[in-house]
Amino acid sequence: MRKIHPGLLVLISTCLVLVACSSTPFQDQDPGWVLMRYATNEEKGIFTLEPVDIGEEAEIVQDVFPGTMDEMRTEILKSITSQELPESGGTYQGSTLTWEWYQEETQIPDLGPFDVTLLVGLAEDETASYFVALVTLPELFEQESEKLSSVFFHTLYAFSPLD
Amino acid sequence: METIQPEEKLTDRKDRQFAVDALRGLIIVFMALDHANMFIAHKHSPGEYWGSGFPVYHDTLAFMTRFVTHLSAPGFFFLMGVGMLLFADARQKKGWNKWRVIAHFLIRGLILIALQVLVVNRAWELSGEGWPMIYVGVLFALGSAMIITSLLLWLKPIYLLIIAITLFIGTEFLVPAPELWGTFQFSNPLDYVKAVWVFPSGNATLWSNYPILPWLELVVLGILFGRWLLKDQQQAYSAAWKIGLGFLSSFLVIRYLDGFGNILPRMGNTWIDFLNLVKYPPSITFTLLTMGLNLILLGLFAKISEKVQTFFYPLVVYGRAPLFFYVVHLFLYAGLGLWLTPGGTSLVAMYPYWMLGLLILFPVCLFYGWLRQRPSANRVLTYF
Repeated sequence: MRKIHPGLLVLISTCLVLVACSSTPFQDQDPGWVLMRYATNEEKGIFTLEPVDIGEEAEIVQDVFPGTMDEMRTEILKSITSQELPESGGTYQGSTLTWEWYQEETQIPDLGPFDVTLLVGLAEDETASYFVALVTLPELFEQESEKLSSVFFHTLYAFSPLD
Repeated sequence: METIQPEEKLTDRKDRQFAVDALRGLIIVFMALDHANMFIAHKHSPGEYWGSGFPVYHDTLAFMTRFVTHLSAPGFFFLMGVGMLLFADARQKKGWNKWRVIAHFLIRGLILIALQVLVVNRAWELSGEGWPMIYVGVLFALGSAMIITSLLLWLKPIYLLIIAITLFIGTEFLVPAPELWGTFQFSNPLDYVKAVWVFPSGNATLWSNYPILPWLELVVLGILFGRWLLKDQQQAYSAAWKIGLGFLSSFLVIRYLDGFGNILPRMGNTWIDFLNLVKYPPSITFTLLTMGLNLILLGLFAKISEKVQTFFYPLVVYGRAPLFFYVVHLFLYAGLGLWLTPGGTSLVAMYPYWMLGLLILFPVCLFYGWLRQRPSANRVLTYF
């Protein structure tokens, strides 16, 4: 048989060194993906995407409001301690709706006397207004902002009123 | 000891198809990455199913680590079809009749199924996740497809094309609505038949990821391409990348329209969402994208000059021992994972383990390839 090429030995040694160095320092719990599934809510008349599991300290809420977007904004302000929603983070084009989205650190009295990070998306069409919110603890949002933002915007993208 | 020098193997054995072996080797390397992700990093998603939860990626490396491995399964089915046709032709030239060829593929198909159930499933169980009593994985589907398509080897190309297109489009109609995921009770034996043949599903007794029908079209397509290779090798290879581009163009249109052919609608508007497709069962877009890329790679490998072919020698070594590599690499990565990273590790840290596995497997596959290709090789080895 042919002699083993010195390059191969260098490669094996390099891999062994990397393997030896890489066991613990790079422990990372985030796999880089979140499982989400489509769901139809006949009662609310919406077709949505929802995370299968994003942990107990984060939640996605999706709802329909039988009024205008301004009326829905007023209703939202009644349930949080902030006096007004911050300046919009921008618009986001979903598959069927155009969303205005906001990020706010506030308190929700119904949940308890602690701060939460709230990502809110609002949209409307001729028949109703629509609401998607991601509620989580500020420190968790800081740690997992990429993952949680991804869940929020994917939910906005897929949200569609049923015909 | 009888030896075959690498250069001899690459350039002197004209009966081998370098491009086919190199592509098979490349998709084997990608497949190993996927399984290293599962066994070493523990970061593998449950899979891109027609129902259930679908992995939505927020990390580019995590997505690309999964995405490149999507070339593997469709490539294996396609290249199996090519290989079957070339094998049948070579054996018929040596005097085998049709029935002997069919009998060979029947035995080989049954061996693949037996390997899945008796050997490979034991490796999956080492991943620590819950596995069913019988797992219908890729070897099961390859073996079944081999048995079925051995009967189609002598069909006229037009009939092969009709069968491939019918399966390609028809099987997509057979996928249930996503909300029916988990509703099958398996009290009716027909539910098991559907799981093995039509769409992925199952329970604790049997779980099928690779139902036979949706993957069969790729074997038929491979047989068709094999016919073309025999007729005019140069023309077939030079057309491969053009057909691949055609597949990619069709993918772009069907994916953009986001309707039939996708099984599930897109889940977002990023480039990752555009490329994140339903694999179980293979949606039309999944097949078009992965086979488009595979055919382009095949065309490119065929253009490589003999001098440059030496550079791709490791791929050819893996590509000429695919079944051996498949069985051994599962246990190797499972063992490395259990021994060195029982709690998993990051994706970045997983890559050196993947490379290490490939380096360990190189001399092993080289030896196995030599064992199998020498003139006095045991006939039993032709089945593996």
